[in-house]
Amino acid sequence: MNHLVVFIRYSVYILILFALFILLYIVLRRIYQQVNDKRFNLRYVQIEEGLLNALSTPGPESAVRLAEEYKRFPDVLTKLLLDYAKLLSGPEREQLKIIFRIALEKKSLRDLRSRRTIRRLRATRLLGFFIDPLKMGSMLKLLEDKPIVRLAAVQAISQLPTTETLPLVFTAFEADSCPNIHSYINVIFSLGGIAEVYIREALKKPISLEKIALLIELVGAIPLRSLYPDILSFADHPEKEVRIKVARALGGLSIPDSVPVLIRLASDTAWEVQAQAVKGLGRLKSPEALDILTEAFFSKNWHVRFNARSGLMSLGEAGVKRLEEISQQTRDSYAAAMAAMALHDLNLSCEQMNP
Amino acid sequence: MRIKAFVNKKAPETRKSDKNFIPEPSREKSPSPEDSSSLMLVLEEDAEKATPGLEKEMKDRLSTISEFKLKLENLVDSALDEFVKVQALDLRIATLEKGLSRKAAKRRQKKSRPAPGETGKLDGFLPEEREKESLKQEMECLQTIKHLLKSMNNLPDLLAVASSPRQPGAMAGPVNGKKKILIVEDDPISRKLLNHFLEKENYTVLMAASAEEGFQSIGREKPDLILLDIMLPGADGFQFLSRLKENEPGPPPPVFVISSLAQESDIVKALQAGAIDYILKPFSPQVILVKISQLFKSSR
Repeated sequence: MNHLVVFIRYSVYILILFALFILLYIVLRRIYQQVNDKRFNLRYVQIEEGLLNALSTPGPESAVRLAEEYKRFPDVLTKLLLDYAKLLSGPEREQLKIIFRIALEKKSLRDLRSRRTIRRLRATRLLGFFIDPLKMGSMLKLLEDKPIVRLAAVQAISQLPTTETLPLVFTAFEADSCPNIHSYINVIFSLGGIAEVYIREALKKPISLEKIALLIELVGAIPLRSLYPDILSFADHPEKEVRIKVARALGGLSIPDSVPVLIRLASDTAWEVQAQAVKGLGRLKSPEALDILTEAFFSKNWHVRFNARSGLMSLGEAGVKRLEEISQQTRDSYAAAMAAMALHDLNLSCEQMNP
Repeated sequence: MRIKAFVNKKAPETRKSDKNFIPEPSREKSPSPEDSSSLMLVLEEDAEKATPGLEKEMKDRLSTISEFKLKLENLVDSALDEFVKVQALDLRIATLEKGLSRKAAKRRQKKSRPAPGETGKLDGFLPEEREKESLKQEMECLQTIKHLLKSMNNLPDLLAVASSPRQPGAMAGPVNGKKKILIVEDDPISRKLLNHFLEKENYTVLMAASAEEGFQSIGREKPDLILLDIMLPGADGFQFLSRLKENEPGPPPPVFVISSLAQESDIVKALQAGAIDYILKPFSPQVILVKISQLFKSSR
């Protein structure tokens, strides 16, 4: 009995001591981190001032001086260059490149092989902005890394779009898992017209529906008008998500030939498809769409009505006439009120244009 | 004084250039008065020769005048700047003087009523004395700077004009002779970057982190140009543009949109909403500066 009491007592002591130790560790670590953060921020502000002066000074001398002076603080310099590289282009980006070459290039290339994900990620991002095309090979291994590093590598590679690098971007897109793929929108969008061939090829491949929908959306957003026939084949796709994107893309492409397709999509079973098709018809300003827009004004769904209202407002005199008719009818008072408001807005904008 | 120096420096050049513009024939030996018909002929010839010279002279003079005008404007700008500095110094000096007199009054009170247990003797350098000393030194320093600035300026007329009270709501133009540029941008790094480059070009920079703050700034300061981001917390850039159009009684200040939204539809929307230019991020600050200076030149 006595032994048990002693055992329990010592166990409690040990537990209390352990808890105190953990508490102390947490407090000390927090203090250490705060001090480090403060020091980091102070250094950041200090180097930032020098960087801004270097950026606004013509010639590379001040950039070289800054790089030499602060290469002892690679972490601060990395953050600073990442912050400013995404904002700057032209001669100012070149100044940043000089600083990177002198102070950080070797370290970044070394960090690509680091065990720590954060280092690999940071190095990849930095190299994405400043890497020499000849050294691009070092990035390829990262296409098989963790998703976050892989995406950073894809972004880095897409900064230098060539016939060698673009297939790599699209291969990574096709092979990537779903949670990551929406991040590819910006990557492929930034490629612009040169992505056309690769998007056409990808649309023919057996990839997931989500990826197909994303590619169709990109066709309308960039916009890639030559891919119009390629996305038309998806207008009757059984999946609603794909049809929504087709209607949206057709609106973005603004090709007059697409009016009949959009009219068909405007009477789709899904209201989301209807809303996008009506919006597209409004953008095309086609007189053929007048009846379908009028019909859409009485839709059960508010979004469809709203897009029909915008469409009729953009159709000029014929649209105004229809709006007047709708505002005077009595079978749908909500539609009448909406049409009256649209006419009021048109009047206001006319007054603003001709005061 | 600066204007005088400028005029003195320029005057000989102008005189020299005047000499050059005298038509060559008039400097040549004139024909004898007896031969009047030949004289008429020569004069006619001279006049014909002189017409293109006169035109050239006119053009040159006009360009010199516009140059002078520009330089004078710059001088006025800098003079007004210095005047504002002097005013700020005056204010600081007045505050310091007040502070000193308050301190002196406190000291007098303390001396007249020594605290219990206090001997009343002030040993050596008390913090108050030290503060007073530093304040005095600062004040002397500021007075010297003020005198220097005043002697440098020597533009009483301009100062009188600048010190005369402005009519309320008179003009949306620049105080200090500088153009005011409002940056409506939520990203602090972009703000800092633009601010640095604009201040280096001697613009007065106002900053707002949201559309709401932007409108407050416009109400207060009446900027000459707005640099606007589209993705803002709360109301976005498009809403800002349409509200600006509705709210401003006169013509609203010109707006440059600086955004990373690269879609055609966004660009068209911003331009239709009243922006005069759409600059994509990433951008080169030098390009923005050139666009701004061109805008101000054309509006001038």
